[in-house]
Amino acid sequence: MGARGYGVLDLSFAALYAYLGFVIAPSRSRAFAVALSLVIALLGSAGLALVIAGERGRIARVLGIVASVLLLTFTIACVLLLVASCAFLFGVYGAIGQGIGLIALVVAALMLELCGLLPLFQLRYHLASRSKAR
Amino acid sequence: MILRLVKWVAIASALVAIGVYVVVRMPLEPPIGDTAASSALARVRAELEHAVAIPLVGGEAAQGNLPVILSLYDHGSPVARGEGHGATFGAALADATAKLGAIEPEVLRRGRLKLDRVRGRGYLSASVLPLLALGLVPSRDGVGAEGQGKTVYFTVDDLLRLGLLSGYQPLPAMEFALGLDVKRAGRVLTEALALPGRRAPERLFRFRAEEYIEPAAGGAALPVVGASTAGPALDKDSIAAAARAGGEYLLRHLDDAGRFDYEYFTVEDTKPNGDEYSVPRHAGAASFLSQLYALDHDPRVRAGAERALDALAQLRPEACAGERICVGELGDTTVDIGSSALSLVATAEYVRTTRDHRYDAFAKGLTEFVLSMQKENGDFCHLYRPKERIRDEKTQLLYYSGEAAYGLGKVLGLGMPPEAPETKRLARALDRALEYLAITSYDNLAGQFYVGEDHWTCMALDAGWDYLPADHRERYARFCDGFGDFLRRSQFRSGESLVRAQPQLRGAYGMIAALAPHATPVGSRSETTISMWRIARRRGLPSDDVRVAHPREQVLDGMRFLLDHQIRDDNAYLMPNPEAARGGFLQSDVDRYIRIDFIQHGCSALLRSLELL
Repeated sequence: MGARGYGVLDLSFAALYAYLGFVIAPSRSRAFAVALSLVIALLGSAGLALVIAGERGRIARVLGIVASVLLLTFTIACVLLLVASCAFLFGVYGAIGQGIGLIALVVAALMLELCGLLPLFQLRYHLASRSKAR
Repeated sequence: MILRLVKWVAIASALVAIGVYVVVRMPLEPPIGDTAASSALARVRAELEHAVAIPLVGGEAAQGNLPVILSLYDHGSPVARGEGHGATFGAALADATAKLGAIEPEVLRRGRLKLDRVRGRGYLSASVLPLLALGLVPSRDGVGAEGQGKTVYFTVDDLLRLGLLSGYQPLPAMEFALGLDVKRAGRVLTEALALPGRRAPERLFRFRAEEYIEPAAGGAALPVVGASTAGPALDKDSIAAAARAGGEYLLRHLDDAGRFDYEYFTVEDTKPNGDEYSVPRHAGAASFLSQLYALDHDPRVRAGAERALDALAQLRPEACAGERICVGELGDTTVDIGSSALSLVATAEYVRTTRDHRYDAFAKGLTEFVLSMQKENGDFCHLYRPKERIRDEKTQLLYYSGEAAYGLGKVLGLGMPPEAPETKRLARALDRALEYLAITSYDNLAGQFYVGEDHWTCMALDAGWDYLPADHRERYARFCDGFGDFLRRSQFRSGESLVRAQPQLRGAYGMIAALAPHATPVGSRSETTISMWRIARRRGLPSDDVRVAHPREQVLDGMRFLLDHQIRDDNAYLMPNPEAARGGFLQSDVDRYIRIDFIQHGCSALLRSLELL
């Protein structure tokens, strides 16, 4: 897949995250909303830049790398928080927390798929193409 | 790079999981058990009343640094409390007894001693509100705080009395609350520690106690969970007695004008009776009184049913008269079909159990109204503006279509002659309603993956079974099989980890442990499950067929739950006026009020379950 392909994916995922994070399941935590807004804004900008500039856009590539790193950080933080939630539920509720604890783990797995794969592959693509350009 | 990253994330996740688990888990001392607890309470009472020491069983059990809390409950409140410490249970109990202080002999004689033997303390976050709110197991964990060298313990009973266990709203957009009311709890703990100004406690913790209380009328101490004690054995007599107690509750809360105390708050001993009165629930309660009349033919119960039905018959807003009668509050300009449909159910139930036809004209008008609200596709319009004679074709409200179908089924179930044109008209309407509810409304891709609140649907099928075409009712019955399977999956049942950990949850319906189970869904889901069982029997299925055996199991587990959770003198020690609450069902352990429909659903299920025993 080329830069424009990743650009389209970035835009699509930015829209999806906005829909999921602000419409379907809005958080009451302002910090989470701010972090999510930042991720969406960066991912959207990177997507737009990549679609417009294509393979040769250096700024677009830098934006893509920054957005991917941020999204990856965001994903890892979310996964760690979900794992911590799962352990919290097991610890506090014991046997009766198993069901919801497992749901937290399933959500963590979904989080990896939904938010972790795109930045991983995009980062690899950008870093590889930067090496080639050198 | 990717593999390395994944490896580090996995290692970090494992470390986080282990770290959090170790911090929040709460190791517990072994329990002392029923015999030792009974002996302890008997010893305390003997010492307080007669200043004599009787032998204590299990006094050598290790107590560590954990307290033993003794309370004397009178008129719903702890009038004396002693918190004792010691290396052994016996030493801590003696210390707690000494700290109870002077108690008037009359209060001591009347009151009930309660033992909370703390078995463990665990972490509770003081700064992260969701962790604080959801860091307790509802009805099992108390909250403690430390500050200025003092430590205070708020037992489960204290939290329930103060209404602190249902106050956290995790999703602002949704109107449900669960977990600790962190703001009020903070204030209460600060006050208890007598901290100056707005200083917060230095440390919070949760704790779990082994709880026992003296019974209301003598005997061995009763284990307590969530301020409730175990109910009587599950048999026909206890179930009939529980249904009667529910009827007595409704009769006590029915005024001369035929209106019920809509809600009764058991801790405050108040009945608000504000603007919240629900006509459908009034009709449901009236229906239950008629249903109960069939059990003993008690004239008081029949008179109560008539008073409630008379009141219902007066509830006709302007233009709700004539051939089509609709029911609603007198000032209403829009009425809902649920009020009329459940009024129809109530009148049909009255006829079924009394064979008295005094409400026939009313019922006929209600039937015509319900029929007039049916749409082409078999569903019903839910709202109606009587003055303009306009049906609201769009608004859909929970339960109403099922209630309308059930109303029609109940009328048919009175034994209408099968060949009469009126019977055929009603049967056709019921068939169309069930076709919509059980088939059409799920006839889409998403509909293959969920079920709605269809308990009235399967009750309607049961009620009108004999009047429906054989192939149609078999299709609807298959839908109810699936609905029953869904209900079974959402019931806490024997053998599940959750029930092993909290046996008192057996029979309840729920999804997550942080929400205390409600008694009313147990009632309403059992009502429909009883209908499923009846339908399966009519289909000629043998007793060991899962479509017969599973509903029976579900219902009996549900009845076990209802018997345990109905208010009796034994479990009313947090209520200042047990007489007013007796026979009722609380919303849940943590929401300690009674509403008329809690009785209607719970006690109707109890009565109908007699057929399964």
